[in-house]
Amino acid sequence: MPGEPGRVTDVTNSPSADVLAVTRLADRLRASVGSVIEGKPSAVDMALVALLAGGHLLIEDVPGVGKTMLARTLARSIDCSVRRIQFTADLLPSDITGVSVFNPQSREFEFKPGGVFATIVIGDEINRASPKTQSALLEAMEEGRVSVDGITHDLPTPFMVFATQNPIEMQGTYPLPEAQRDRFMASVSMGYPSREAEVAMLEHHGAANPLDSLSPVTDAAGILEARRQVARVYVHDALKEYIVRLVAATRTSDALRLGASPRASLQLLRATRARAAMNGRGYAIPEDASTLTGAVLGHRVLLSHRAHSARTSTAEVLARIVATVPAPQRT
Amino acid sequence: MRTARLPLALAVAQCAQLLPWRDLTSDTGALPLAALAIVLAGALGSGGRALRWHPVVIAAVQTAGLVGLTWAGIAAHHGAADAAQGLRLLPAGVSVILSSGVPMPPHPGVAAIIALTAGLLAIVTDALAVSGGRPALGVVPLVALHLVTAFGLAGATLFSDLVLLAAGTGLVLWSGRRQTGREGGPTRAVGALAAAIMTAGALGTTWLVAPLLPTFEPRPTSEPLQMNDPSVDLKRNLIQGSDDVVIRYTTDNGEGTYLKLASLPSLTTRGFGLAEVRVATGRMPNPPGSPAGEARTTSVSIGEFRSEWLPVPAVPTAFEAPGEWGFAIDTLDVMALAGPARGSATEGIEYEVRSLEVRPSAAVIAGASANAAPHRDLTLAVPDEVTDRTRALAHEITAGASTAGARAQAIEAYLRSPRFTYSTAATTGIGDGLATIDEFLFRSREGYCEQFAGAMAILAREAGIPSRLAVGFVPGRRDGDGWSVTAREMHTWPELWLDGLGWVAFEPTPGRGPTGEAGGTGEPSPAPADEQPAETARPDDEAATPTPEAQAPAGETPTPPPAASALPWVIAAIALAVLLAGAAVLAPRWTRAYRRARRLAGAGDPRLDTLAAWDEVRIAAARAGVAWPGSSPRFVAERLRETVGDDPDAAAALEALAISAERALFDRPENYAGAGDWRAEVSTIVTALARPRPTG
Repeated sequence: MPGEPGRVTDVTNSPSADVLAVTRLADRLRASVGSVIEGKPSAVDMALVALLAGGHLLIEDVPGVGKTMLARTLARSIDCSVRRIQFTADLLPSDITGVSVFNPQSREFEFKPGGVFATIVIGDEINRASPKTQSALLEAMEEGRVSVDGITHDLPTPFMVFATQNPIEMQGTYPLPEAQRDRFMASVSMGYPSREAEVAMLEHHGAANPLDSLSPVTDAAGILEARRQVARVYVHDALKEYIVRLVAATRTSDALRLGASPRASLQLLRATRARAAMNGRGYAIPEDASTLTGAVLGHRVLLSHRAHSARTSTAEVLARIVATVPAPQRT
Repeated sequence: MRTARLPLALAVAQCAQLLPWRDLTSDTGALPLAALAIVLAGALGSGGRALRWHPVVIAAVQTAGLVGLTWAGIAAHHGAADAAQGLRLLPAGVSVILSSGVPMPPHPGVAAIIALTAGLLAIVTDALAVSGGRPALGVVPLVALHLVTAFGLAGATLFSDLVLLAAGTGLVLWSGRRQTGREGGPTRAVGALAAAIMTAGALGTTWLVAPLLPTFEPRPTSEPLQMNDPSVDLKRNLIQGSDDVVIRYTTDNGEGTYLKLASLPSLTTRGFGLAEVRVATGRMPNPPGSPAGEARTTSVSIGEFRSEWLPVPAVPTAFEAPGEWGFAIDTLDVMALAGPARGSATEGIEYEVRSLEVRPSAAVIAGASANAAPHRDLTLAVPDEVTDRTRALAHEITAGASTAGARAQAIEAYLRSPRFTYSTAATTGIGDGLATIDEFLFRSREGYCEQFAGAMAILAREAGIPSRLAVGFVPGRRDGDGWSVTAREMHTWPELWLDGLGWVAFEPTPGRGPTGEAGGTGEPSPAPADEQPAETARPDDEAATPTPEAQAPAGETPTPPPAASALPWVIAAIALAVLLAGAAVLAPRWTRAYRRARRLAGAGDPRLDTLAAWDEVRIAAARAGVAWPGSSPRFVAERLRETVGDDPDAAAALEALAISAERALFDRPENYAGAGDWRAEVSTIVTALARPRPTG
């Protein structure tokens, strides 16, 4: 998401200092992540939106384009716990959630936390695990807590999952069902870097692990505070209506056989707030919502068979919807 | 395609506006040449813009093309020798325009002037409306072209011409709106309103001003019209005429009316006859003498009655009849102008006449004097051969009357007294020659309408009252909704001039004149002549035939019309058109400025005022034809900045206003802390947006 025109140039209507703190935090994170993930500003921005809006991110792309690196860089930029779970066919739900182990010395069952117990969890190739294991992670994502043997264990806050999916190798995979995909706030696709960006990457990262030189720019508390500020961003009623109209349009579109859920409206609203704050505004504008529509709704809708056979992409359908739903011009 | 729409509309509308010009000149080649000039100007303009020439270059090429086309057109139509005279044609054309009435005779100079005028008008319009991006100015040539005919023909504009003007105006304004891609409710409404006001103004001006202008189109009788005295047929018709209906007519008030063919003002020993008259076409002048009366419309259908004179009610004000008809300026008699069959021009036609119905009471007539009659030397002249006893009789009859009106009433009463009897037997003679009248007055005392009318007219002249005879028909008999008149109902009656009443008809013929013989069927009939009080002029018949200029010399010779006034009027017409169009162009701007000032005057709430200011920019952008992206103000500002790019002040004002407008739109209302007075910024932005952009 490139910067907006007129950002912070306006003196008379300067936004509150709280929002500017979020903006500065986002700028620092963007710079930090951008130093490693080169040439992918929109993917980085989307990751920041999800982070600041309290959502989870689904990264779908071919191997080797930096899906995991994006997650790891972002995690490294925040001074917090990071766990990476490589999903495989034999991964068990207890590997995710943890397991109660009998301690012979204390003669009690002790809870051994699973891979999900971290501020940032990277689920690599989530579609390789069995549905049962997948659902264990997705349940934790939704609830923010884990129940093992009848005992509830709260996950740390902030808690964010970066799940990567490889759409090419479908052999022996279990693609996430629509209901599960709905749990992610947004999905991004990295795409191949431009030639210049790839050359620069070889230049910078050829010798050393780029993560080694990265130092955190904030911590968990900073993220929580930023999320609180984001939640206070004002969204005009007309804008909320616009969001609902955007989402509703996916349900009536001929090109889609499955539209977005009300949960999608809620997530789009949250993401809209985050983007507004990242751009230095204490209020959202229609462009916040329309820019995010593709990323927030893309993984929740299903193309109709006709659209599919016409080789229309989901992104194209959503772009068309954004173009047809009029943005509020007066409030 | 889009850019061709306005030039196309202009060319079509201007060419259509040339149609009414066909009455201005009899030169068949002039108007097609003018239309070609208009089309050429438009085509060269469009071509030049497509090649991105500078407007000055375009205008130069258009002018060169126009001159070349005119020269070629003159050469083709009038011959190479005429064309070779070049510039000298123009002064020659001007003098032709000044010296001739309408329609002007074919002349290469006139054709060149018409083509150059239309072409130059088209070039100026093309430069202003298309190159200059002011489509509303495209209305100027239409109004100018229209006014030239409106004034040139002195009010002979037809309703269809006005419709043509309105249609052309609408077409140009519509194309202009499409051209700039304007949209937005209030803007469109204002534009439509301006167009409506402008059109109404043009039409109203034409209709109001045209009747006030002098008519300058009496046709000089270069080929004199030989008219026949209709009274020649009178006696024959009275006696031998059939009872077949020859005329049927209806009036809008249902009453019958005398229908007059011609006036006979000239008196010789052989009686009354036609005098030479000035003939005109177009609008009939107002009858002087200013008789007050009700407007009447009479629809006439003629059967087997052949005449070069059109039967019309007294005091006609306008007529519409098939064929070529003109009218005598002094008598308002309507006559066939041209064609081999002029003598039977009336046969089988249907037409409509508007006239004035004057009903002076006996008292009014009795109080009237007769000093201001036009052409007194003609209408008071009495030949020396009039007998002394006739003169003595006139003085004897009128001895007790102090006014002209009273003397007229006395003469009428004398002739209608039982001394005289109506008879078509040829005991007295035929016609109204002096000898016949003498015989009628003093010996036989028997006669028919010619003798009664002639006697009264002569006695009136002896008594100092201008007089003339009128030849026509009595009202006839009621026939269904209308009236029918037979050939036998032909009639003649005297008309006497009375100040303030014009030419007043009297009826000295006792009985029912010719109808007395044919009638008597007991059918309802119009108040017949013999049943009217002798003192009262027949209401239908005050043939007030005023002449336009009371002080003018007698119309014996076809004096050249005051055509010298044509050019000033044309210039005045064009000036008026320019003024009108200027006001029309400026009116929307003033309206906008006023509305903007009102909107920006402020509601006191800075947030609402900011939103109003932003709306103002939106309207200005729509007016300038700049697309308004459907996004938030800052993105709109980003887009508009490309338009106002070379104006840093406007760009800065736009950005500041956009951010505040966005805040006003989407932030919490209570959070708005920005400025409310954006008048200076809006003014800067609107000016920058309205600036013409180089792209075509």
